[in-house]
Amino acid sequence: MFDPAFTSLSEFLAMGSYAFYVWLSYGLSFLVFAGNLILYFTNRKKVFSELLRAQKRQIKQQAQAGELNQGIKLSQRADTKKAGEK
Amino acid sequence: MNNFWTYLTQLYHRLASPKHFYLLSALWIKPLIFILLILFSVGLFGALVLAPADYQQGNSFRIIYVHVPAALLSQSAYLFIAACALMTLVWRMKMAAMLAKVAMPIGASFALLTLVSGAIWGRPTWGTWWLWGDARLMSSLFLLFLYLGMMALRSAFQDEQAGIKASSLLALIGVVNIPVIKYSVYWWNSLHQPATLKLTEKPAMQMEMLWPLLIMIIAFYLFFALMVILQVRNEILRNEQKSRWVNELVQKKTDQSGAQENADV
Repeated sequence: MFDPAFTSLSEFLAMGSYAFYVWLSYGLSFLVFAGNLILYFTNRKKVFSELLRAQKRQIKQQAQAGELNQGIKLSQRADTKKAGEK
Repeated sequence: MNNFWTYLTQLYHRLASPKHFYLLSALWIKPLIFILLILFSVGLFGALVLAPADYQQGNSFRIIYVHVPAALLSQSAYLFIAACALMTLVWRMKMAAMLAKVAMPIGASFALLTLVSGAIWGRPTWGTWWLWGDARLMSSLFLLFLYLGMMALRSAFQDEQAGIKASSLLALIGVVNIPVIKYSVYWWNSLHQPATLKLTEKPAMQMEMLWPLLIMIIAFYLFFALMVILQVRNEILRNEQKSRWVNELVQKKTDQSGAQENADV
């Protein structure tokens, strides 16, 4: 079962004079895998920052709407006060 | 049997909903990564160390362990995209359109790897990196162009639905290329050797060389599955960002990271 094709590390690295071709193809394969993973992580970051920004915007809008409501209420109160004074 | 069938149809309908897909797929990620780590370590060790050198090609034949899985995957990924395209056009399934979109760049990367690793293998074996006009090489190059074409069409229109429709149509038309790739080595004279693996026949390869190849193929396919699942989860969040469950999810995540920052302080 366990029967390595090479007897030493240098022999393994040399790949029977095909070192350049074998290691180049495996190295490029590694790049494809790594590239896919990197693409995922950058995408994930982008999506979450996008979502956070949208959420902050929403909260701000709600707060502004709240202030506006309060402003209207205050002015209404002032109006009723005025009406009472009269 | 009947129960199993109803279970499968229920699962299919649940997975068609972006929210359920997002929640269910979260459970698959860790087991997939675990299986992938085992498969790649065993497969690579078998491919690079245990498999005996080929009596004709010597150690250069070890390129087969990345070239063949990449080639099979780039074609299967294409068929997956075409199936999604059909579901998008016929049933207007949102999930199918998202799956097709995220599978395109992944499939394209493996189509490119097929061409490049093939060229690197061709140099010591045939004496040339590339041969214009060779049927297998041309149809494989065409597959890469199909991927790039689908991606370009997907983003070429202002109206996203028009882009989805156009790229789905191209995906369905391009299916013709898949049997052309497969039979190109039989229909035309090609430098390329015929298929190493056949479903209906006993493989010509000896067992010591064969098992790492099978493991590497499974590993490549599962990596594709993992990447599609991960990327489609991003896509779901982007698509459903106005819905309540996504808002709650983002809220939870910010709360968690906020708690962590406080803990660090």
